[in-house]
Amino acid sequence: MAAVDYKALKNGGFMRQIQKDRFSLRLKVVGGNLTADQLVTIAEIAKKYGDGHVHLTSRQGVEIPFIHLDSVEDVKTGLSEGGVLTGVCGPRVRTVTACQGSEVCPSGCIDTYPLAVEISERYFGKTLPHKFKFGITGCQNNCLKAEENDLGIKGGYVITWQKDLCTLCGVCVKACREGAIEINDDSLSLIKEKCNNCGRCVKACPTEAWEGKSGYILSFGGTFGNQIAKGNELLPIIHDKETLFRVADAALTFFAECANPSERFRAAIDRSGWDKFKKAMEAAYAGA
Amino acid sequence: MPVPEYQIDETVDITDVVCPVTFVKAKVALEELDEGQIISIRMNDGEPVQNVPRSIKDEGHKVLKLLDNKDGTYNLIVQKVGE
Repeated sequence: MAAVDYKALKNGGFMRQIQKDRFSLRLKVVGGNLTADQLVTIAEIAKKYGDGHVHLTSRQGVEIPFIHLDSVEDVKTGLSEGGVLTGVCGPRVRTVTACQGSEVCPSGCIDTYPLAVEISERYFGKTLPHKFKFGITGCQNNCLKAEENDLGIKGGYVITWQKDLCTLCGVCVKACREGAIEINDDSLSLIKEKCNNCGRCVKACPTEAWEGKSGYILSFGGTFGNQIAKGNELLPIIHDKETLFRVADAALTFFAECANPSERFRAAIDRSGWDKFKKAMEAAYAGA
Repeated sequence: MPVPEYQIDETVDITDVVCPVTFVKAKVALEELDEGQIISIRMNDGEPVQNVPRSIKDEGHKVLKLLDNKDGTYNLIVQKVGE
């Protein structure tokens, strides 16, 4: 029998278990969504080739454990016939995670799922010096924990007050958790430095006097494993996907060019200098 | 754009319940009104006053005013829309 290429198996999502010749197979999930049909396929494969259970990972992934080395190819075929693809491990772009976003959640400021699909199509599986994680969360409630990802994307609103539509009812003053809105007698004031773009005033306003322009707030260099560090916001809110992808491209290029082999994005930025990294991101943001 | 003059037809106090019952109690009270009638809903500071006005807006009713009672509670004035 030929030597088992464990590395190739791992790259294809097969994680070696402590049990001899058994693998836990990571599946491809984008933005935390699977169709009911995909779930049926996964269930059938888990029953036939695994031990009848699946594991839900911390990043919205699904793994089928206890797959025998001999059935690797049959499993792959069976899954792909049912519209399920295998995931990836190792030094590359991992599962793109997302909350349900503005199409489902009343708090959402951006449509997260199509963005997760776009990011996944563009970067998923791309080889880099180390793993790289994207996470997308729809609003400041941050259910998807944007800042623990190498590149986190958070939805927000840039707000404008339209005096003509305002009745000074006072709802937004209390809806805002940052204390950024004040009403004195017959005038309203917004303290811009306090606004965190959560959009709660827009969502709560009974007369649509707050207008919200949705956008992406990016955080860079988050990591939440052996080392724990929160991603940093370095740029103003981004309103268009073109700029978003220009910045994401530049972040991955920086990682590919500046990191030592097996060095995480965060460590590479720490070593290269945040000033240098920030300049690269600002240049991409500006359109360079 | 000033708040139109209004006259309160009904009141409900939701300071004795916590989320999510706050909204449920307000919703039940609204259901008992006729279209166009106005209710004053008394609620606590914090989560209720942050969230209940928006939930009522999302139900399609017309929020007219939020009054600070200066005792840690607020009165939300709402006009019923729909049957």
